[in-house]
Amino acid sequence: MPYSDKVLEHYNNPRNLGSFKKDESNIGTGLTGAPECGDVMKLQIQVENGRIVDAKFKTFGCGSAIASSSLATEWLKGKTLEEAETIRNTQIAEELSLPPVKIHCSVLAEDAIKLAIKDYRERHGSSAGSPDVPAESTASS
Amino acid sequence: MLKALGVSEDLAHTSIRFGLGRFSTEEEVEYAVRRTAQAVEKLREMSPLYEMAREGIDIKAIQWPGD
Repeated sequence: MPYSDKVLEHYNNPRNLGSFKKDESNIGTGLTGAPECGDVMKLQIQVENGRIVDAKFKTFGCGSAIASSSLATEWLKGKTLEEAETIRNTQIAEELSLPPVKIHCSVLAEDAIKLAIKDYRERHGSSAGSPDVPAESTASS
Repeated sequence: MLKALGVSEDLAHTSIRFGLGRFSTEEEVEYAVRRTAQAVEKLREMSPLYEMAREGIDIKAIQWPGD
């Protein structure tokens, strides 16, 4: 099955590709997947006053995984953390017309979003977490 | 096939197979080499693993959520 036009568009022109610098503030990082599975996603958010002002990603994986994370960063920008938490993998899969065998790519993107929010809250919430270790999920990809 | 040779799962996921035949030309090989190099550079630029490897992080030492 060929990739949809939207997947190809995101693959050829990824949005918000990159990483925040280590010394930048108000960052939350979500890292999910596994090299053995062929997919690893890193998604970062920058938050000001409870709102995501910028987002970046880096993904090792197929075109659908790259497109899912690229689309996720686009959707995250401008949203509050509470709004961002409501993004579902099914919305990503629908927007990109992912076939059934690629649904796990959208699941990874949802996981990465949740992990980035969790990491941000742990670092910047009332109960400060470890400042140097990004959150990792326990969910299977 | 790579796994049968004892190559680890993560390395096997970074492999690519090229097939050449008696009608393949030198020009085609050079084209494939050029396009491959471009794709590798693009994918490395996108990869969190390549970034971590460059920072000296041991990828194998990480407890991956997908494992």
